[in-house]
Amino acid sequence: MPAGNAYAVPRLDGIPTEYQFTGGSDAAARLALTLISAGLADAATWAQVRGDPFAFIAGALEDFVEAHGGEELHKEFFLRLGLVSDLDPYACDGNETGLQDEMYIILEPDSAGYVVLEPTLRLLARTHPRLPITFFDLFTGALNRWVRVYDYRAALERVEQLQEWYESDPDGEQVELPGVEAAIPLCLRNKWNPLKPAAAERLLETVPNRRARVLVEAAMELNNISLKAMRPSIGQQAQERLADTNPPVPALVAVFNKHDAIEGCFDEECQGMLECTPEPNVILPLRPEDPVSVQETFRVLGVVCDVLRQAARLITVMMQLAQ
Amino acid sequence: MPRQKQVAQVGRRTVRHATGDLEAILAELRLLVEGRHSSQQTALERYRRCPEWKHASLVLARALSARAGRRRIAYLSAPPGWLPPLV
Repeated sequence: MPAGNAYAVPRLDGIPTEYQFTGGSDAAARLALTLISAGLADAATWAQVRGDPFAFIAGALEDFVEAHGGEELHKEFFLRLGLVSDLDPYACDGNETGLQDEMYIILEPDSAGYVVLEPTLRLLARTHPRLPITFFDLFTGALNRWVRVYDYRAALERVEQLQEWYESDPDGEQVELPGVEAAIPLCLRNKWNPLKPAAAERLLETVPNRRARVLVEAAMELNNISLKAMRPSIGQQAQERLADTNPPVPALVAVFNKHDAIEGCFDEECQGMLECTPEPNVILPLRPEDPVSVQETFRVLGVVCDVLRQAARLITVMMQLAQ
Repeated sequence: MPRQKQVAQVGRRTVRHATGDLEAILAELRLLVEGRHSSQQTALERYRRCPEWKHASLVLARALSARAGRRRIAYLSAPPGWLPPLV
């Protein structure tokens, strides 16, 4: 204590006023090193993130997505990209380091995108009766390889599920279920099969309507891009971490008309989609120390981004037709 | 907003400076990987990495819990990453 009748304010110079503990900085730094050596991250950004390996990786991912059409795809899709070392966000088994030998890039929707299909399908049906089903098959098939699309088939499944539930309920007969069947356009209800790619290309050469031609060509391009990579296997251990998850949240809701029965089914079903943690739409495993593994994962991520960008372009055109 | 990037643009001097920076960055990252970076030298970080230290605290916690006249209590299991005692 100081002498005299005065109080002294203790000096805090040199004493840390902030104390942070971040687990996994070594694993993050390992991945950062690999990203630099693989040419997937710009070392010059290290100073901007003030030596934070997590921020450095986040920046590298942002830059990569930006280079693969991030701005365009964000117009129609509302997705969040993450890097995790454990697919179970509530894991509590005390395993801090074991799973860091493998990491996962995951893609999850914050909310679902939205597209109205019927005006496009009507336009195509006027050109050729098999073009609507061909377009629908190409568009949803290409997207479903990577992200979940909620369309009339999911709505039909939901109605079937609700019917089963209500059959065991005494008051169930009074419940009116959405008329999904009635909402399906005639051009899809006919028993046409989608055209094979070669047949579609031959047909397009004879299509006089430029807009119809551009739409189908864009859907074929979307399909080709989505086939440039395969969904990687995530392994038995990672599968087990997902055992208690809900199905993935849809990244896109594809309705035929605004506020139709498919949209009604989605609005009802989405109330329970987050009751348990949903499985990510995309899971891309990578080994942080292995440049080949990291490069391959980024290649697949690039394909996913390219698919979403091409789909976003198509959705923009389809929504213009729906206005 | 896209992030601004600082890249070597002109002149040999700038490029040489950038190469030196790259080496420094790689060295710093290697220190982080090996757990020898200054940011990892905190007591908590050293504790997290030291099995002997963890074991010693476990022994101490068990000794305390086994002392005579101790009330009967039950420990909750701590979430991963938290400090022991995990008894």
